[in-house]
Amino acid sequence: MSCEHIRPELTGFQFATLDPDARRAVEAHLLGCRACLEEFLEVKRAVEATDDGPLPSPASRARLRRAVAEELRGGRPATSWSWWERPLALGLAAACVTLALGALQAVSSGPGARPRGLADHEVRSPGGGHRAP
Amino acid sequence: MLSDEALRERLLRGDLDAFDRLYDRHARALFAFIRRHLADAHEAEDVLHETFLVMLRERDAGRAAVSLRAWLYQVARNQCLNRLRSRRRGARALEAAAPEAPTVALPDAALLAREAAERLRLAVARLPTGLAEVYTLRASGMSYEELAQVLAVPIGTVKSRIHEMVSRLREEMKS
Repeated sequence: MSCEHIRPELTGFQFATLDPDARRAVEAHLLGCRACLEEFLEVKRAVEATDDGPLPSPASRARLRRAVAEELRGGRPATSWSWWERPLALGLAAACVTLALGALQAVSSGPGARPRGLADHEVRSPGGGHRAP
Repeated sequence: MLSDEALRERLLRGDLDAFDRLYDRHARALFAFIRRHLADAHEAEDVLHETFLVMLRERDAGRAAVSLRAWLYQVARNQCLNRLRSRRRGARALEAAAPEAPTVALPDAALLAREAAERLRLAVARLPTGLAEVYTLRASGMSYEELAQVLAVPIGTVKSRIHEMVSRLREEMKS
């Protein structure tokens, strides 16, 4: 292939978007054509220099460093449980719920406990009539 | 050399030297990426700050990411888009920053090669923002998987955008 056909493909070659036949043709051409090889190397350098922009100012960096230090000093708590805290917390919660249910059961089934589901005015007095509200 | 993820863990344990190393490693490219969206340098610095602080505040999200680098770009990108949306204006920093047309090159191989690089730079400057960010991310060496994470799109979409970006550059460089 001629230089005129190869040159437009150099960017695609750099970004690996060429189909296999076109890629092989470019590779073969670059091996034998110094001018196109130089052009490709310039394109490659230009692509790889994309990140060579300016840095933020030193003052900005210092400000950010102070903010990071502040954040690390405990500005905010961790957003979630650690791996070992999670089962511990779940176990503790389950134990509390079980204890509470057990206590409730003991109170509601003890001697003199009122039958469940009856309101005060429905509980009959020992004489058979309704207890006064 | 310590990985980004190892440095992040050190930082989260309070090691400010780890912050310095992460900053040295990523700040320049990340800042350039942010400037693709936000023309204002001070605003871009604010986004860069917030991006690093989010790393400290959303620890689990950062740890769950495929790569810290891609996650930082993702955070920065979301913040840029939020700012742009809230102001209802498009980011066309690249177009504004387009350098002047190159002078006519002499027919010398080295000069022709440099002219090609200059044509590429001009073509990149004319890319729409969406394709320009694909160019920047890919040029910085990100994998398709990392790009998919940053852009929040499937890998197939990443591939098609890269092809579109290269086609646009090809056409621009011919004209």
